This record gives sequence, structure tokens and C-alpha cells, in this order.
Amino acid sequence: MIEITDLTKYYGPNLAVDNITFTVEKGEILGFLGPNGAGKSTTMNILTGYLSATSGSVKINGHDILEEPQLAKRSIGYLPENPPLYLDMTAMEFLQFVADLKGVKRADRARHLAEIMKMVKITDVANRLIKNLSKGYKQRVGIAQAMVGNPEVLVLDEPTVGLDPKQIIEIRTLIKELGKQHTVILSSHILPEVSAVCDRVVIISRGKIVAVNTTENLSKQYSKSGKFRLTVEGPTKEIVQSLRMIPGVKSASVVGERQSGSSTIDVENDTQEDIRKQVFFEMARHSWPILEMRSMDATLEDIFLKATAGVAISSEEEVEQ
Amino acid sequence: MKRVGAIFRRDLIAYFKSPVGYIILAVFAIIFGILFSSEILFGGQSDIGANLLFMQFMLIIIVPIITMRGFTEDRKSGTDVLLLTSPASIFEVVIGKFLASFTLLLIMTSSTLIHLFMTLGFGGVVDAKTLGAYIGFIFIGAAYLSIGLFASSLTENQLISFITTFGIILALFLLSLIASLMGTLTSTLISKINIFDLSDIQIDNIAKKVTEVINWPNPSTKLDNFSSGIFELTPIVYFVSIVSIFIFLTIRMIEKRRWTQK
Repeated sequence: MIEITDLTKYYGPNLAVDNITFTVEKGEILGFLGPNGAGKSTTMNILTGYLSATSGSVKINGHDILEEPQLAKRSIGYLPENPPLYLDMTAMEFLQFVADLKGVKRADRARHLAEIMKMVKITDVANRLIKNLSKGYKQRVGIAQAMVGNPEVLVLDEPTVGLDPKQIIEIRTLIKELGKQHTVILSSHILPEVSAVCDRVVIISRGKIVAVNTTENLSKQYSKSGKFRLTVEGPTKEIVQSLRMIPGVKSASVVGERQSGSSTIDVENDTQEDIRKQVFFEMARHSWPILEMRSMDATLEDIFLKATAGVAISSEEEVEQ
Repeated sequence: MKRVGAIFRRDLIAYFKSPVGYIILAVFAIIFGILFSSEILFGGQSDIGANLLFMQFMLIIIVPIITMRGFTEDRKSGTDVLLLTSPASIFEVVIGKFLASFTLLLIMTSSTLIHLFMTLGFGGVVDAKTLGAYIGFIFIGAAYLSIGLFASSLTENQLISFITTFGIILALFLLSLIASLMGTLTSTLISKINIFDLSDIQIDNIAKKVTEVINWPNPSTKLDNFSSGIFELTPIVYFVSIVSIFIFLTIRMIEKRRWTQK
């Protein structure tokens, strides 16, 4: 559906995107993850045809974005970082304008727009000027604008920025819903969002791809050793000491202590063996009641930090060489 | 064509969503009205063609106001992303915007039709010269608008866009002044150091040529025949070329930004 090959972008002497290659399959929701300034927006601007790449190619539906821009752009709906809205128009006027711009047939226009406005829940503000709408509504009009014309590919650059928690959940549900019929690329630096919505994740840092995989595979890949969090009531020091005595425990570190006399401890084991039983009996032997025990898979956050840290180190080495 | 229409409608309506459109129409109509009525009151008759010729000076201010929003506003608010990632080509976007500004110019010009009909009704003179003046006014307006549109594609600041357009149009107006100055300068210089022993008529001819060459890019020189009621192909080709060149440059400018912009 989308093929990005050896994409490189320089801004003058600054390298913004460094030779990245990935593909997005039809019907997939791809998360595009990276810290601020990693090159996410640049990549999205290139693949929608707003910017040109220094080298490399982007193909949408088999059409090169530079050679057949009209055909390629017809299958893309794009929500940039700042939603592109004409503030002096009402939401309805604006969407009608976008529909004409994208060549939606006049006969279908009203029905099509009504459907979209219902999906993103802006029907009740349809006749208000966009400049008087709240940030959340503006963002939704932006998403609606991308959906106009029913493009096969939706490119959404941080779609939930500026929304309140309830709206964020609604938009995430909407994106999942859209993912059934559309191919979606979603950029974000909010990790739970990506893990909640996306099938596959591309992590990018300093213009380079550092990891591409499904969310499950990534957490498996990055969580070689088991880790769990323990809340125990008893003398903290002694608990930690006895935990460290248990064979298989790699480390035990105190995360927090409470005045009630309980402490929270992260325990890591280096073997694949489950040591939670031993921990339970050991604590029971000392009659230190376990209040809580919870296994901690590598979250996307851990993966993200590990993956992006790796790049930072390797690029520093390059500098030293 | 449908996409051109969408952009055209959006931009034309936008003029009237802010006071800009109304102010332009009002100012133009008031000044033309004062001109017309004072001529009637004090002279008993009014030459609409001559008035339009005078109103060309007003274009120095009016055109930059019309075009200063052009592409600057889109770049500032980020709506250029919408236009440039839509299936519309840059050509369609630029044409749509140009036609919107041109239509505003036509609406503005048509406000003088009231005076034209009044003149007709009271047996005043309306002839080929008047028609020529109208055509000339619209042509020169279109040329200035294309320059203004190009200036708006250079920057994201409306004020800079305004000043650039204003400066270029003013320079074109001043060109006739500079040209005649250079002409006189040439003739005095040559008569002072007359090594080729030229006659006064020859010197005069050289000076005239110098004036003509310097004044060549000045659009108002192309209008002289129009306002005399003579219709030629050359000035039409000239104005169509000016508009095409600046539309082309605007397209190139926007395309270039795709490679350089952050």
C-alpha cells in the first residue's frame, strides 16, 4: 500500500531523515513513534507530498508521489501537526470546500459529510465558525477533513494532541474503527496511544529507524528477563536482603516506602524460571505479608527508551571515531 | 477545473469574511464618485475614460491590499498543507487564487458602471475611448495582481507581501519619470561631448530611444493606444504574457519551497 524506500531528507546541512525504508500493508494501523525532533513530521510531510525528499522514493498504492502526484494524493487523507483549517469558515463550509477540492461528487457530498461529522462527533458545531471552536473540536474538524473523499490511506500526525481524556479515548476508538477500512499511519510520542491502537510500530530516533515490529514482538524482544513489582509489609532492608538471597534473583531495588510500613520493590530475575513461588514462601517464612505482586512486561515505554538510547550511544561513538 | 472552482470560491468569499473586500470596494467607489460628481458640478461633464486612467494610480495601494493575503495567510495558518497535499495541482491552486483576486477587481471596476449609465442617460460621451479605458484598466489591474500574487508567495508576512507589491508597482510608475530623466540626461551629455558631430534632431532621437527602452517594461505605456480607442494585439499579448510569467514564477516559487522548507 505504502512503500517508503531509502528516504533521506536534508534541511540544508542538517540531516532530518536518514535513509529510512518501511512498508505499510493494506488495512494496517501503523504507529510511528519517536521523541520530539526525530523526523516523524518530516517523514509524514514527505509521504503526503508536501515536502520533497532529498533522495529515495515514496509510493502510495503503486503511484510515486513525485511522478504521479495527482493519483497518489487522491488516496491520501492527511492531518498535519497543526490542523489546516480556515478559521473564517464554519465547520460545514470548510468540509464542503475540502470535498470540492478532493473532487467528491456534488450529489454525494451532503450525505458523505454528514456521515463523517457523525463519526467524529462535530454535527452539533457544524454551523459555527472554526475560530470559535475549542482546540478539541478544531482537532476533530482536522480529522474530518482528512476523512473527506474516503481516501484509502489516512496519515495522522499526533491526532489526539489537545484533546481531553474522554475525547482521546473516543478518537482512539474512531481510529481503530477507521483501521478496518483504511490503512492508517499514526504518529505519536504518547506511548500508550500507540500500544492501544496500532498493529505495528516503527520507532524512529534522530532520523533513523531503530525498531520495526508488532507491539507484542517488541515487548518479547526487549523483555528477556522477567520483572515484577512487589509490595510487602515489613522491614525494608531485611526484605531486600532476603530477596537477593533467593537463587535466580538478579536484582531487587526499592521503588518506594510507605509510612504504613510497607515498601514497594522491583525484582528482576535473570533466568526464564518463574521465581514468584520462592519469593512468596520466603516472605511467608519471615511473616512479611505480600500486599501486591504484579509482573511487569516490558512496556512500550521501556522498549522506546531502550531503542532510542541505543541510537544515541551508537551515534556518539561515530562522533568519537 | 472543479478544484480551481473550489479554491476560487473560497478565496473570493474570504475577501468578504473580513472587512478587506468591503473597504476596497467602498474606497474605490467613493473616490471615483467624488471625481465624477465634482467634474459634473464644476465642469458640467465628466470623462469616465480619463477618470479610470487616474484611478490606475489608486491601484498602487488597492492591488497590494487585495493580494497581500494570497499565499502568506495559507502558509501562516498551515492551510497550504491542505492545498498542496490535495489532489489539486499547484497550477490549479495558483489559478484559483488569481481568478478570485481578478474577480474582486472586476466587481470593483463594475461599480463605475453606475456613472457610465448616468453619463449615457444624460447624453454624455461614451465611445470607443471609454471602452478602451475600461479594458486597459482591467488589463493593468490583472498584471499588478499577478505581481502581487507572486510577492505573496515569497513570504509568510502580509506586511512584507504588501510592501513588496507596492514597491514593484510604484517602481513601474516611477519608471516613466526615470526614463524621461535619463532621456534628457543622454541628450545633454551627447550635446556636451559631441564627438560624432550629430545634429540636434539625431540627438533628440537617441534620447527618445533611451527613454523608450527604459520605459518599455512600464505597463501604462502599453495602454496609450487603448485609451485613444485603438485596439491592437501587441498590448494584449504583452499583458497576457506578464500575467502568465508571474503565475509561472509563483508556481515555481511554491514548488521550490517543497525542497527548501522546513
